[in-house]
Amino acid sequence: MVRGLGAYLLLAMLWLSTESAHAQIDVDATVKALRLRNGITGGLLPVSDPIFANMVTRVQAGDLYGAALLAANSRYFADYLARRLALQMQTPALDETGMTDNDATAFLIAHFTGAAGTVPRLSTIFSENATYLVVDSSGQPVHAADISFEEGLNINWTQMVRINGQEDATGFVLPVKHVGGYLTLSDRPNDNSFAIFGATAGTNLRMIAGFWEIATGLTLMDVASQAATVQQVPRFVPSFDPNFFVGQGQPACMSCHAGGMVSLDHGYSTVANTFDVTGDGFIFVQNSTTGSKKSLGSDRGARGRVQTCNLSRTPTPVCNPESPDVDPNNSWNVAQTWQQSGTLKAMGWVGPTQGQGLQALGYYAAQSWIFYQNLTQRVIGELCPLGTFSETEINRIAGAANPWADPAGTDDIRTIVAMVAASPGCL
Amino acid sequence: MKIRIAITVALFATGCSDHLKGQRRPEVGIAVAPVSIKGNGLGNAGPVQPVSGGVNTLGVTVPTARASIGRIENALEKRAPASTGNFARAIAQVRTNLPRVSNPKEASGFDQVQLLSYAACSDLTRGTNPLMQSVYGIQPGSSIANNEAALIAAGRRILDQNAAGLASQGPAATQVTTVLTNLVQAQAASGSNTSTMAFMAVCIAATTAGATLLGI
Repeated sequence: MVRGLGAYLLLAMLWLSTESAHAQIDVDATVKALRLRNGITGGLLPVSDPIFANMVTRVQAGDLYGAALLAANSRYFADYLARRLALQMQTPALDETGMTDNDATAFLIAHFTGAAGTVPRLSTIFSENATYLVVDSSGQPVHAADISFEEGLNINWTQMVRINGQEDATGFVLPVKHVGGYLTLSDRPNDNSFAIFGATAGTNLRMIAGFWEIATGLTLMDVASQAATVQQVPRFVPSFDPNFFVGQGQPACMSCHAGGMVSLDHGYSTVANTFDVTGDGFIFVQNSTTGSKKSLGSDRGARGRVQTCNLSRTPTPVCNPESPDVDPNNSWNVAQTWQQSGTLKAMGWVGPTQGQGLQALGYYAAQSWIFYQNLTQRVIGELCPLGTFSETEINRIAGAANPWADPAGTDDIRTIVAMVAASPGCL
Repeated sequence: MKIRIAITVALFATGCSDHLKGQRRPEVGIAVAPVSIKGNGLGNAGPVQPVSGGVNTLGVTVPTARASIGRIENALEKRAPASTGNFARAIAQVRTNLPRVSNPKEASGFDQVQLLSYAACSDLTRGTNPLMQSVYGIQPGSSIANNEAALIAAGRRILDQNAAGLASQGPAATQVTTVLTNLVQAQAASGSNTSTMAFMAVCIAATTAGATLLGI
């Protein structure tokens, strides 16, 4: 066995020491095609597949982008990188470790590669009102969470069935205003979906913060601002806390809860009292009551006291009496604070700054430049973590995919993948 | 279902009357294509951090867990499927230890790839007419010396599957053959070794080498 290991190391070293072209094979073109294949499909694309031969031909013709696009358009990209990106996006940690396939990941893969007769569409991953089922080995459409790990290795992720609408775990059809694309897809408990991550227990702050972090690549503190008012803070945040207005050895509570991702104005109203996770799984809250309102804190038994918020009572309720609580119409206004702080400009926000409901928020967030810049950065991190990309190059690639740009981009992550992989800073 | 269809139709109608800044907001998302916003050039984009991973490293990446499994399958021409046999059992045991990220500076778990190769290769030695015989022409009952040519050819063939023929036709082809020859002869030098054991050594070496290529 030790000799075997030594041999493999020696083989690998020999491999890296290629120096000159060989008469029987175009070494340079083959090596470049292999690198594209290994990065874009993880090496899942067999070199015996005609696609690989076409990639070599494209490289020989000097068309690196075309060669990369061949790999990106193959089913192996869907199985590897698209699936990997989708699994990562179930939490803001963007780590696929331990994640499993579910309706949300299937939805994302469908939007990355196109499926069920639909074209790839990045711009609606936070807003499309649909559910995608994968086709199992017997040809039946099933929820992705029904696929075993072993079966998942052989699934063709470009073959899916699209169903209009989204249902919660009890079968209730989500009102379209509250649909958040993949954010609101989960058909069972503990399916590792973003919905379960965001709406389990707590106050659903995790859900809105997770949305912003995944969509923009920014962190909580990147967009925190103290130039906000106490009325923008959720009602369960105690305004008498010594760190509320001015942080002492920590950021002020207000900087995030009023001026940041978890402000009442920045989308918290779209999720706070709308979603929950019960024993059934992710559910839409059809009839909100004081006891069910997460905007009044994570302690169900204390929500009545938070709503009343009489600070003269003993014990003092943990609350913010100045807060109007979340808007019952689920309104959001990202211009509040973020216009003044420059956050909207940094995001390249070009859509309306106010609206109602998660679907509208997700739709317009995906119009911002930062969404496409962030995806470009993530793809670079996957394909060329040690490469070199200037700000100009990253923006050029992001612009090529941004369908809202002038001129319009492709709305297709495979454009980003192929441009990154074929960039001189990578290959 | 009727309710869903009714809602969908109603929402389509609502969406068609909902205009904000000239952009129609699609209630069903993918049914309506996005429209370029006039004047929305790169000047509207905010700052973005450039990427600089160092000098002369470019596209070097590590195969992650899924990539490692797929490359081993390809190395053996999908004759040892990851969903069955020892390969599947080994994956279940070690998959969480495999590299999680593609960044060579951050990845760990490469050693597990060799374990998976071991398991996958062993699946080719099972049965009365094992795949090592029917596919690679190695006679289990014959000596290593008699199988030497077939064993070396098997190693090249396996490596070629992740190297697009460069193992047998590339500039290092002679050296690859030399390494494999030395490996096989070293196996033959021990009298108690069988051809199956020699095949396992060759298979593990070639599969692991091919599966763990960093870029190339």
